[in-house]
Amino acid sequence: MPRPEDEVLQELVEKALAGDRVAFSDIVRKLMKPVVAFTYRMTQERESAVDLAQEVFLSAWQNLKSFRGDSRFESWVFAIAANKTINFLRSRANHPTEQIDERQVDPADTGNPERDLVQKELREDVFAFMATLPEKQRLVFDLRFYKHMSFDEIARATGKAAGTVKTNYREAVKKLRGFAAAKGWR
Amino acid sequence: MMNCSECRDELLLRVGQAEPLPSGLRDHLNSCDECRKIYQELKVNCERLGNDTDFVPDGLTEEQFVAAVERRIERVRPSRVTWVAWRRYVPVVAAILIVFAITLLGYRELRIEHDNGVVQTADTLVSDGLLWTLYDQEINDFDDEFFNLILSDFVIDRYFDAGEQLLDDLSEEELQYLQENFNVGEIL
Repeated sequence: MPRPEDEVLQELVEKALAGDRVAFSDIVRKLMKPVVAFTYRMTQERESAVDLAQEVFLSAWQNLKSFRGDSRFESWVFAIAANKTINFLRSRANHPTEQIDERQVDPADTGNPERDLVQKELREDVFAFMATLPEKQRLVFDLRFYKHMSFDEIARATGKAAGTVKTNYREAVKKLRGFAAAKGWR
Repeated sequence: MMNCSECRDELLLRVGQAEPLPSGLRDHLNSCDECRKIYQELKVNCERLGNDTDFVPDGLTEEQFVAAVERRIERVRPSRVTWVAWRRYVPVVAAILIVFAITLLGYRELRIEHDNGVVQTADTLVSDGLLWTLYDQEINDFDDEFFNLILSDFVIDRYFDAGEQLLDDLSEEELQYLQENFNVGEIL
């Protein structure tokens, strides 16, 4: 059964498919946070994350007609995001001088300094753990763990076999255990 | 019943997801302390890691972001979108043009060949003087209107299907009239 937010998104997609730019901007508003969060975790660079996320939406608009509706629209957008991010990471790996070594974790701003500190620590942990994963495991882990995409959806999005995707996820979770043990999480 | 190895494999795939664990896995966890301990540990790790799912860079506002996306769309719309949209049709259009050109050239060749044949036929008729003889000598025996019709048909079509069309265009009655009064085979 489709979730109410999926139905709203579906209506916006239909309008956007008819050329409605305002509807597309509403889609961008709805998906902006998860897409930017994804590119941010993957790249761990503020500027690159925002730039990539904008590229994702531009590409989604340009290729909107190719969305056939056989998957959730959100998954389709994340498939674009996954491809763009992988290309970006490869290009960054090939041009190490452009790489920014320092991770830029922004502090949270909840209005409660104590809570902000805890949030900041959590974000640093997320970044630190993601940084331990190779590119493919990081991608699969993020799409499964944070985006709750099914293994089949991830396989379609990344062009990998579902078995390979499961192996990548399993390996990533094993590493999470090791990371947590090293950090002393209880 | 699931064994420990299968259970841990499944846990690694299912941990951190909202869906409830399958009954086989739950049964094993209920009966195995070691696997239950690993499950609890993984659950804590995932809860900690998934606590702040959608954090975005500080200072990034929704409106700024949407405006930036809109600007990018505006920037690429006139050139790239049009070319990308039409580029896929280029091979199809080229193929249609090639087929059309080949057909046209072939038709022209055939037409020239055909016309040359007809001109030769008509010229032979003229050079033999048969029709002109017919015109000069027998004109008085014809009904003017009928003969003019035959002659105009011939002149119009002289360089096309002259002889054949001359006969094709005649009604049965006219043809019979011609056959009775002239040697049609000789004319053609």
